Amino acid sequence: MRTNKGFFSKALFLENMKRFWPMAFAGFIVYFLSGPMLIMTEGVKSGVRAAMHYINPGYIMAALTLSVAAAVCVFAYLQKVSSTSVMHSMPFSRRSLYVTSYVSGLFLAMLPAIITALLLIVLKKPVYVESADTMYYGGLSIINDTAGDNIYTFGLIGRWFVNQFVLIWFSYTISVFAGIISGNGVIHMLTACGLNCIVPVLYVLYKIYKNTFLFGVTYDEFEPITLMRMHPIFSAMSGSGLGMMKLGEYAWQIVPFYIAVPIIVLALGYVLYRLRPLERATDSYVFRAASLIIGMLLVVVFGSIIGLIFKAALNNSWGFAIGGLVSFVIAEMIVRKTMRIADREGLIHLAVCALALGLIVGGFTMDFFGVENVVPKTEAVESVEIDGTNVLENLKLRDPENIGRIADIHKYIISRKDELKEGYPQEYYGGNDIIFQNFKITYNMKNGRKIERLYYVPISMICEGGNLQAVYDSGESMLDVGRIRGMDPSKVSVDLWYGVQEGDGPYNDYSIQDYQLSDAQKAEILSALADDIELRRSDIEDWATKYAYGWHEEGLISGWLNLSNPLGSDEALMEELRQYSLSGGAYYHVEKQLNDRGEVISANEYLEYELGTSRSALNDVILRIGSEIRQGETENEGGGDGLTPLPVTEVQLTQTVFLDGGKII
Amino acid sequence: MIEVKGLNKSFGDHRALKDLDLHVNTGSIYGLIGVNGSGKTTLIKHITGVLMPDSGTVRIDGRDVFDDIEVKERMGYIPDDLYFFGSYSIKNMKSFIKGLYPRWSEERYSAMMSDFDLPENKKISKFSKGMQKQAAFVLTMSTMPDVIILDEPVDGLDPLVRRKLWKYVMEDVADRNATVLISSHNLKELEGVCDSIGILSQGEMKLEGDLEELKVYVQKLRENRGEDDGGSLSLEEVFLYEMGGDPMYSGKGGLK
Repeated sequence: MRTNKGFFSKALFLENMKRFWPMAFAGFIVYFLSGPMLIMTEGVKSGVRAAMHYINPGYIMAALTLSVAAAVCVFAYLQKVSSTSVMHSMPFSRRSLYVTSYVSGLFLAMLPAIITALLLIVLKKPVYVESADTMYYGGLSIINDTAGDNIYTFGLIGRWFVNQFVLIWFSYTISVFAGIISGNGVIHMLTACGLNCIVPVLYVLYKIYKNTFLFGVTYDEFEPITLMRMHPIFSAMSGSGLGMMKLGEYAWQIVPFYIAVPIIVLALGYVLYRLRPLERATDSYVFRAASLIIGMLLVVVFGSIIGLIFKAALNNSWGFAIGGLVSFVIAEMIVRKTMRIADREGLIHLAVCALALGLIVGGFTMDFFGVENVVPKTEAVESVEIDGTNVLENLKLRDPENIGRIADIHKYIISRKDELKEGYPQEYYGGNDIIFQNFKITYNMKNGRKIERLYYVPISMICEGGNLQAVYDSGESMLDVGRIRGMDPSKVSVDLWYGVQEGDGPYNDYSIQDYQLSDAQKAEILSALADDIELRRSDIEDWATKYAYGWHEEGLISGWLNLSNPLGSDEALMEELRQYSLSGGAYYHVEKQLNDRGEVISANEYLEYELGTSRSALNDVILRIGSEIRQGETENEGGGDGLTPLPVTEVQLTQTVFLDGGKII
Repeated sequence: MIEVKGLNKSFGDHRALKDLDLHVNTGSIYGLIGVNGSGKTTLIKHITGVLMPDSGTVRIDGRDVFDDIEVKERMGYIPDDLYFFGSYSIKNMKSFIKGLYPRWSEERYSAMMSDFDLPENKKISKFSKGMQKQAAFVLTMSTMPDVIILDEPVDGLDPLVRRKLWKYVMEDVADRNATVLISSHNLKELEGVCDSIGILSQGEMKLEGDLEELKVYVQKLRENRGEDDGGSLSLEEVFLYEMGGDPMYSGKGGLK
């Protein structure tokens, strides 16, 4: 049957297989050594973890390398004058050449994974997890499975294969597109690598620009979902997306991207192939627009990197001009494959690149989109969190009034941004006594987005106007005292921490883990904690002014926690600090452990409470219990360890939560 | 029949082909001549469907060549710049080409391989340039093309091989009414085989027509100018005369 009349040429496909099979074979060797070989040598039980693990580096390396190599090989005929002439004079249409070459390369890149999947099926036998959280791989990750689970099934092999397919399909399609616009093999390969990582690179630069230029805009964390949408490599590496083992929680938010992006790129590649000026084979790029866009991207990326380094080191923007110019000269020589770039075309490219980089730098410098001034409307915010006050940490404020109060503090900071950008507003805040604090506001929006701002501001600025105090005084900032009072002491574990000053060395925290508190002691601690919270044994104004005082004293090591803790060397100072310091924030959270199906298999409820004020009931209880414990330990050790034991400084309550069908009860 | 009408092609600012017309009758051998850089190879790449015209049409037997698989199946093209898959022998190339051309003749392939005495299993990349050209010729002619496009076909070939090559071309024209277009700088050889000629200069068809009519025409011109020495003109003399430039005959068309 002859099939080359339509969109697919069987003859060309088979020829590509004959010509390039060594590449697939080399890929298979890497796959084999990364998976099936381990099962065969280490046994199914220990080998299966590595064989199907989501961050198995062998698989990831092989998948990416094969994707680029396959595209470069099967489309190599486009990159030489002789081959492109001969191939296009043969009985092929451009459509049949494109489709056949694309399918050939994809099959070659996938072949090692296909054979590996078949091998995994052949080697398959049930492997049951003995207990949860006991399986480790390469020190990289812990895999949580429910004891008794079979982790070597057809379903999991299928999932592994789908993940391989997605990673290769995505990377390969982008690499093919690179070949369609490139004019020679070297540029094809470099462009394939570049286009595969250009979106994440631009995303990182965007984050750095925001953080560098926009007042209060943070270099916030890279949202996993955003990164995963950009390339399945992040999904494969994170394990929480389409991980090699897991169909994680984000799977259905990213799968449409992994389908849509390659299809769009494939279609665009086809359109460009139809238009490809074959006479430009051996040039760097065959389309003028591609030369311009790739050149511009190179200038934006490398000009930005150089500029941002200058900005960080010297705090001026000359680096963008220097970096942009150097990048332009090199990029222009590459994309036009000539040293003679000082012509009309070069000038046009220079103007475009300068405009692009200028718009980016200028846009961020002048805040074109008014990002700095964004304060969300209260009705659009589901909750708000603040960080940097110590007394209101880790609370999600949902009351619209409190959200409004935080927004007011936010607006006030923004109204003073010019002073803050220029430096310390010394006169207004009282000269050298100004203490600055990182103050972070996180708005969790009703639409699922998150808006984060971080300001380095004088503490007193946060407290001005009484909004913070009003939030603190509201019922919402109070922990659920009833829940604390309701805790069963027999089910609560209490971790006590004490501080030690080793000579002139740093102050360290140590946990007294061996000491088992009695239920009566635990009940006393819980009760004292609830009392402290209920009676509000701290206030914002006090915190703000006395923190400022404490910060300037010699001998204080690291911020808030240590302020209220005895350092041993200066009891008089500590006494003074105790007079003013507050009890720290209580931090309540639940940590869950999930198996690979996303089910909760165990959970721990934590309540961490920092000690500090002499007015605190808990402080008194803990100091007394802690001293008793330390006293006992010192006596047992003969007191000869050279350390000065200090009173207990922190308490951490942990309650193991029992589960019923995956739900916390 | 090969028919090119109003063909234009530019490479950046350079106009490689300018409003070019060309006509090759079925069963004739057409010699395409011109100085280096005149646009011969560019024109051939349009006729073989490699390049896309900026404007104008390129048709073979009334069908547009570009992207027409059926037209290409009936066409044999040997470029000046040869290409074979890396590390392939003639046998390997044969198995690929055979799958693409429905009229592949094993009989002719065997006969030609024997005639040219080429090693079937040796890597083509190890061949001399002349042997590579012979290999390309064998493979192309074995597809039994109705339209044969040859770009500098005898360049680098010894006289004996050249004679064999022309023999096969002439046979195809005589026996199968094949249409042949040959681009060459070897005007003496072209004169022996071509029945019509097109002279290309700076992307324009300067003169095109039947070879004998063209000679008579140029001779008359020379007579009118008092340049005639009484002898008959060779193709080379016609070419040189045209390239010497008579403004009257520059531009498209020429003798029809």
